[in-house]
Amino acid sequence: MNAFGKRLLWIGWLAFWSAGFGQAQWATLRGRVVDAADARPMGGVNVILDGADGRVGTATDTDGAFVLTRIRPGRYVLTVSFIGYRVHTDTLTFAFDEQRRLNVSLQAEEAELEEVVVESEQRTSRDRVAGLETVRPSSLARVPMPDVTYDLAGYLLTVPGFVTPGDQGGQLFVRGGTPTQNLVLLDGMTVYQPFHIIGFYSAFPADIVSYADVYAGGFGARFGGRISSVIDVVTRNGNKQRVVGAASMAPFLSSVRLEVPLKPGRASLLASVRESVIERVAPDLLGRELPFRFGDQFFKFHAFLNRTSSFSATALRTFDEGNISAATGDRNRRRSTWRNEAYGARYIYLPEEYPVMTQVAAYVSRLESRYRLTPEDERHTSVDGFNGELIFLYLLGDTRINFGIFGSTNTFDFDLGGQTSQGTDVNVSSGGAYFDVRLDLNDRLRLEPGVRLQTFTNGVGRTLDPRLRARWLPGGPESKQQFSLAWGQYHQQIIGLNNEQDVTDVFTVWASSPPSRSVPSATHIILGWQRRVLPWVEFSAEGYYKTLHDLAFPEFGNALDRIESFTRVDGTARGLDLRLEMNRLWLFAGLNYSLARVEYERDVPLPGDGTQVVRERFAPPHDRRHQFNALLQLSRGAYRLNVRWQFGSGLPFTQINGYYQSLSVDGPDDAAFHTRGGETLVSRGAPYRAALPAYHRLDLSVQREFRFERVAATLQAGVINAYDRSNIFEYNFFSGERVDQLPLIPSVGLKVEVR
Amino acid sequence: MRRTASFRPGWRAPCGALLLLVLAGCDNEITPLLVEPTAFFAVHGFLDSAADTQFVRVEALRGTVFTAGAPLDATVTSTHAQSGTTVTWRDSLVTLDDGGTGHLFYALFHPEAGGRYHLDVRRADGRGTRATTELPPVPTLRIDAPQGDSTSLSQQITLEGLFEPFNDLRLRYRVSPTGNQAARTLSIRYGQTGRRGPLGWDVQVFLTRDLQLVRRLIDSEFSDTTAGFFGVGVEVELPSKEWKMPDASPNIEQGQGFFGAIGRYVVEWHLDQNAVHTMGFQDLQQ
Repeated sequence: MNAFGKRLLWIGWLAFWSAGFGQAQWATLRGRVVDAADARPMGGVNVILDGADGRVGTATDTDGAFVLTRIRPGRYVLTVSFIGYRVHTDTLTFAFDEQRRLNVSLQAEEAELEEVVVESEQRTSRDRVAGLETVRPSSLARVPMPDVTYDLAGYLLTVPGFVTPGDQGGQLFVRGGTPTQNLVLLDGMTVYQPFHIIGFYSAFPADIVSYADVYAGGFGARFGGRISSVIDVVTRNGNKQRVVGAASMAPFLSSVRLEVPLKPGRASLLASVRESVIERVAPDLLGRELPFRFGDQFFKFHAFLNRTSSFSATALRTFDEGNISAATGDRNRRRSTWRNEAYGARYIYLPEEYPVMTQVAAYVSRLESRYRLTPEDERHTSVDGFNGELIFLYLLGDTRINFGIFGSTNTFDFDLGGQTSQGTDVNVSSGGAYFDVRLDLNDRLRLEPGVRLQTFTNGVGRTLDPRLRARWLPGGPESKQQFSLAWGQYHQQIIGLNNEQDVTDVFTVWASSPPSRSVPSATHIILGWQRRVLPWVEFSAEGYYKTLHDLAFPEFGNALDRIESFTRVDGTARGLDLRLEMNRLWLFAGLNYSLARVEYERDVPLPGDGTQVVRERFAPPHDRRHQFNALLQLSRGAYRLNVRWQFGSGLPFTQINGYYQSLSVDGPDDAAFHTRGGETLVSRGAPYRAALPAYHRLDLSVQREFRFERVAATLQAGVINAYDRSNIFEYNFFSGERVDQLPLIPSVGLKVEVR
Repeated sequence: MRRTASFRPGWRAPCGALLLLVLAGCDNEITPLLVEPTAFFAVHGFLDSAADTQFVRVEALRGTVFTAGAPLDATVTSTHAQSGTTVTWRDSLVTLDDGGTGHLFYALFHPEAGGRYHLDVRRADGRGTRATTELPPVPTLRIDAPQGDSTSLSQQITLEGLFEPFNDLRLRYRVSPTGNQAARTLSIRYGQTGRRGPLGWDVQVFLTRDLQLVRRLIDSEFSDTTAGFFGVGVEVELPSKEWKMPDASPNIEQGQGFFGAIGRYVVEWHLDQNAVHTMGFQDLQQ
């Protein structure tokens, strides 16, 4: 460890001990709720805090006052609701013994007072701030899925700026960033390839998610190591009071969830297991094969060790296996498999005397991926990662100071089968510290400056990344408008290399950035504006601009289906995301539109001796220029209807002039070339100038819930790709074969839940 | 008040955008081939200054990986850029090693040293591929005085203006066993010998050793006293610059493949009379 690392460790150690020990008390939240129109106290208002360990709530008295006691330290979502008034929500973090006061003004729903608006899932714009959206499980249930459970992946496909090549492959591109530039965390553990081979599903079923902070860019100093986006998923703790669980069965997927209190009130275990069924039922159900097998297992142990500390251990395993080119009928060609494993342990300590939350955590992650191009050409890659972090969160009233030190090491092993690229046990490490602050300067302006210092054993050496996030409410807490900003610089040491000839290639090689060159970097700037047009209608617009540097991009020559080398490209990603949402008790309707432009540029040698170059600009194959999503959820009694329609403009691809035989003329005395056979090569046109056909699809589902005391059963019927659109997934230029995305698939599912 | 239904200008843009969206959504075809291609033919071959007949293989770029026996719509001509002389090449079908057929075009002419040639392969509609190559010029020799005695006589020659290693170099001696007989030409291969010098490529010629080899080759016919020495020269193969990167083909416009040239030249010099005598030959140089 160098001097810099030692200093960081020393600072962390001091901070850890300065936090102190002692007897702790639970936090308390007191406050008053008044009518925004005349400041009249409101009695009978529901005040609810939702946290990882469940829900605590109360109602205001006749003076509008409320008290919530015995609040365990941690992060909560506050919901204040009353019939005929717009719901107020906020995110609060409590320290031990914190005595917090909060006054809330509720605004009356002017148009339809008879409506009952008490659902906590009704959101306000506070969940979206400059690139960040906090996703709750209830939001996931708005997206029709081919089974009766829900998944974070299904929801992300509806978020503006999130691009996926289709419903197969498990690739997610965020505002110009590639999948390997996304940092995906599950309770702090890195998940390298989190999306399943069927794009509706990820390693994050709705049943285990407490919330997910999804940063499409502009993330704070707490996150690093990636340059595009962060998906930070926080899971629920298992029920500590009684055994609960659920089981579901549908043509796509079956799942089981079980929550067991190991020590009532103190310790619990949450287990979730899912496994695909579609590969077994597809021949009978659809009359065709869908050779995709996938699943995941998740386990979480959580315990309150005493009044001041808690411990959790989390484990995740996923597997995916499938042949994307199923249409070829050859199971031995282009077969992909990948497996994630992630294990984490986290200890949280909250001293009584000081408002400091201390967290020590260690995580181990692994990805193993194989790709069989032909029976003779099998490629594999694996990455092992270890991360450790020590975090201090100072809760000083409205000000929050977050300080952390971290270290990580990654080991890569890859073999690209017969090509020159090969690496065995390549090891790289990084370490550093971050510091970010949340300052509520007044009830209108919040600033979140931060800085992240990181050292790399490869590439650029040391980086200092400043970050800033800000939110301004022109009219105070009840403002109908919100302006927000995010800016930051980002560096990424480990890189993912894949065949970007088309975006459907899921095989990704993780590797270290070359030692002698700069690591990939980016600068983000995001400006957001939200406006509540009506009490139940909200419009938001977010513009972003990212500059990208030193990205690795494959270079294709004339050989078929073979990467010649990886070159460095720079680029920009810019766009505008618009949302219009209508949110009533019985209705949710959302319209999203994304206008995006991603452009890469690189030096291309001019014909001749190669010393002169020209700058070539092109749109990479994930540049989806237009994307539109319409989402509708209608609820009536125990029935619920979900509808989604998606449209995406065609992704760029490279057209060709044609094929030819390349002859090797061995020298001036080689007359045999007159009759020699040659290797078939391809003559390509300018890169990515043409577009694939547009993508669009309609999914819908209807479900009915039956309740019997502690048991609830949900019966769902649905259809994916309702008008059987032939959306292209992949086109094999060499054989002329076309692989389409999923056809019309009807589904029926049943979920039984013990609550 | 009665309102007249009209298509307000403010709605035209969004309606137009929606229409475009719908139209874009209906299109579901893929066009893998460029409608306006930037390459038409693949050509493989080279011009040889020492050959009477020049050959080039021509193939039209095809839409699939599979080879097809479609007729070739191509006319091949070559033009000597300096003189404007154009030669039309003739097509021939050859059976390839793999059993298929290929189009081998040929033309009867000797490319000129230093000549710049355009090879044009055109379709009937006039569109096509042009490849350009230039034969290296005949190098100028700079001769140093012979060094050494009768047992190790050598001489440095410099091929002026050449700074790159070349394919092959041979020393060509014209000798006869007796002064009355006609000269015979014997070559000794030097390969890729020499080194880059300030004026060009320097080659050390080992005269004594070479002529001993020559004597050994036809020893029985030689008489030590009457063997004749008619001349010495250097035979070089000078490739055009395309051979350096045969896969890059920057000299082929709107096409693929390889098109180069090779200059095969013999340049003689006059060997000092004393040196000829020192090696035991009669000096019969002209």
